[in-house]
Amino acid sequence: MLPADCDVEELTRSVFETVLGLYPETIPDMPPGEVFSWVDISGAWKGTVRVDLSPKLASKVASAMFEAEGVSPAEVIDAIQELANMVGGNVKALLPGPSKLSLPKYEQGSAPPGIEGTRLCFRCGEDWFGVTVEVRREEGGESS
Amino acid sequence: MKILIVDDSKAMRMIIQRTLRQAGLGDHTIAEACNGVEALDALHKEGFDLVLSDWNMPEMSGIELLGAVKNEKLNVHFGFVTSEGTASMRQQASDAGAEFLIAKPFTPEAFEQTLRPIING
Repeated sequence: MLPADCDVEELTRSVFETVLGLYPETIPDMPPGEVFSWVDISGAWKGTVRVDLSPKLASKVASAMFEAEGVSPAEVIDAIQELANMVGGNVKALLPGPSKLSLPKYEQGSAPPGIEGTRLCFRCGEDWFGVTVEVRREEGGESS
Repeated sequence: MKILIVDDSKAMRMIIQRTLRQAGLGDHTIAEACNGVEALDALHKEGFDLVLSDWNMPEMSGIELLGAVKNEKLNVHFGFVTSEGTASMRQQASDAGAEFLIAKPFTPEAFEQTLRPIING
């Protein structure tokens, strides 16, 4: 199962508005961002919650978190991982439990396409980002 | 009051400090730790009155840290600031001895409402 799009939209907006003071709007599908961070969920539900965004928006997010004009690459990674942690933790609350949330991870490049999932796109000023919730398939092809 | 903020994210530790100030609770001594091991070491070395801990951290999780605090009978208020705010997590936190769980994303109002009674004693 996957959470309702409207619920993922709402919690994503809540994270961006409350933590970052940014007000994203949902938009039709856009290409994946060049950096992404994700958390894995395991247990009664198995899958991944991923946030992809442009390096420019990643820096903006980090600047908002650190309240600093200039941020280091390490601070950008930290901020984007925490972003995935917050979005993922709240998505986890929408899914069957009990389950565990992994520590967040970060990579550059395009995220691999999922097998069964939904990606919501948001505009944030001139930038956009995506939030993907994906079910992880069990061995043998069955999905959770 | 001496407050220990425990989170593996430096960004989140800064956000928590900022939110404490915005909640009118910033006029206290604040220290940071990036995981449960570092936090426990700090608790051993210095006396803290309040721990604000993340749940999911490398080396030692927040729930493991709380277990150590209880086992060692350290006299400190302990609560979670975590992205996982489900009823089951809150129950698990409470069963382990946490006094509160503040879910991320949080507002200054949530901090003020939860922490002022503890800070004011």
